[in-house]
Amino acid sequence: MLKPNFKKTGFLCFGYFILLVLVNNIESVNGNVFYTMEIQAASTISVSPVELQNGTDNLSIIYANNTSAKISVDANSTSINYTYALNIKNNNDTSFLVRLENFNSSNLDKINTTIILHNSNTSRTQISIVGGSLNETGEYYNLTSLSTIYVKIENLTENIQSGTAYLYTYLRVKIPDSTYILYVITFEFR
Amino acid sequence: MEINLRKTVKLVFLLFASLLIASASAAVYYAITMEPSVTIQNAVVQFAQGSDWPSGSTLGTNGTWVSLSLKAYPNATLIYEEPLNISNTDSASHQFRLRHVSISPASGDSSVSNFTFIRFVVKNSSGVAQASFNYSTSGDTWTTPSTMSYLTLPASTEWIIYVETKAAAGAASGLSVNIVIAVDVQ
Repeated sequence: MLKPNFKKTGFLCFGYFILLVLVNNIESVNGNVFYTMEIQAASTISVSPVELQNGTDNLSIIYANNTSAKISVDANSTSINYTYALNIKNNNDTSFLVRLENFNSSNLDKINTTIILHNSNTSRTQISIVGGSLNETGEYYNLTSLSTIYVKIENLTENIQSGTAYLYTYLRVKIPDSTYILYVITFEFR
Repeated sequence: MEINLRKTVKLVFLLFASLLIASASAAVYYAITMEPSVTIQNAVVQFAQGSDWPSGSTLGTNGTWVSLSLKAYPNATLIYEEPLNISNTDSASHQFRLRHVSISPASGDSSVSNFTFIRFVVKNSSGVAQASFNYSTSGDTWTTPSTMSYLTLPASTEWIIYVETKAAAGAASGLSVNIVIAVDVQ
C-alpha cells in the first residue's frame, strides 16, 4: 500500500501557495495611445452690420443695440396696411440675403395678415396668416449694401376681438457661406 | 578576568566579514534595456477648414492646432454652421472628445457679463448633432462645460464643429473672450 508522504505534500502545498501569492500580486496595466490637439477660440464683441429702426408708421419698439424689436399694431374688422412698420438698415458695404422665420406664436386665429419685406419698389412675401394657419415662404430678399428695406403688414384684419396674438420671428441675415445672424422681431396684434 | 584573544580576533573577523557581505549584497542589481524608435507621422485625426472658415483664423501646420477668430453680436445670435471640421484620415475609426482647458477673462472679471454664450456643437457629416460644449454666463461667472464623453469618428470621415455666439444686450464692442479647448484623440 502506498504511504502518503506528508512532508513532500506539505512542501508542495507551500510552493503552490507562494506561487499563487506572487501571481495575484502581478498588476495588469491597460493603457491607450492618444494625443491631444488644441482649439484656441477668440470671440470678440462687434457692432452688428444690420440694424433695426422704427419705421415711419411708428409702431416699433427697438431694443438695445438695435438688434431686436417689437412691432405692436391694432387689428380691427376693416383691412389695414402698415407699409413702413420697421426699417432694416444695412450699414455694411456688402449685400446680405435676409428673410423672416417664425419660431413661436400664440392666438394666431385672432387675425389674418401677410408680412412682406420690400424696398418700396420690389418685395418678397415672408409670412401669411389665414384662419389661424401660418405659411412661411422661406424666400430670401436681397438687402443691398448700405441700403434700407422695410417690413410691411398687409391686409391686417381681425377675426376675433378678444385677446392678443403674438408672432415671434427671427430675421435671418445670411452672411456669405452658411454663417448667419438671427435677430428677434416680435409682432403683437392687439 | 582573562581575555580570550583568539576568540576576540575570530569575532572581530566575523563581524568584518558580515559587513562586507551586507554591503556587497546591497549593490547587486541588474538592468533591462528599452530601445524606442520614434517616427514622425501625420496625426490621423486632424482639423480642417470648414466652409464657413472665419476670416482671421489660422490652421496650424499638420492640422493639430487651430486658432478661430469669431465674432459675437449684442442681443443677436451669430451662427457659424461649418467653421471647423475634424477629419479622420485613417482607415480605422478613432475616438475623440472636447475638454475645457482655460477661459480668459476668468470668472469674477466684470467684463464676463458682456457675453451670453459661446456654444460648440459637434455634428456628424449629415449635420446631426452628436454632442454640445457650452460656455455660458451668469453675471460675472462663467459656466464652463464638463469634459465630453468620447465620440467615435468613423474611418475616412469628416465631422463638423458648429459654433454659436451671443453677447448681452448693451454689451461693449471690442471686448474679447479667449477659450482654449483640448481635443483628445485615441
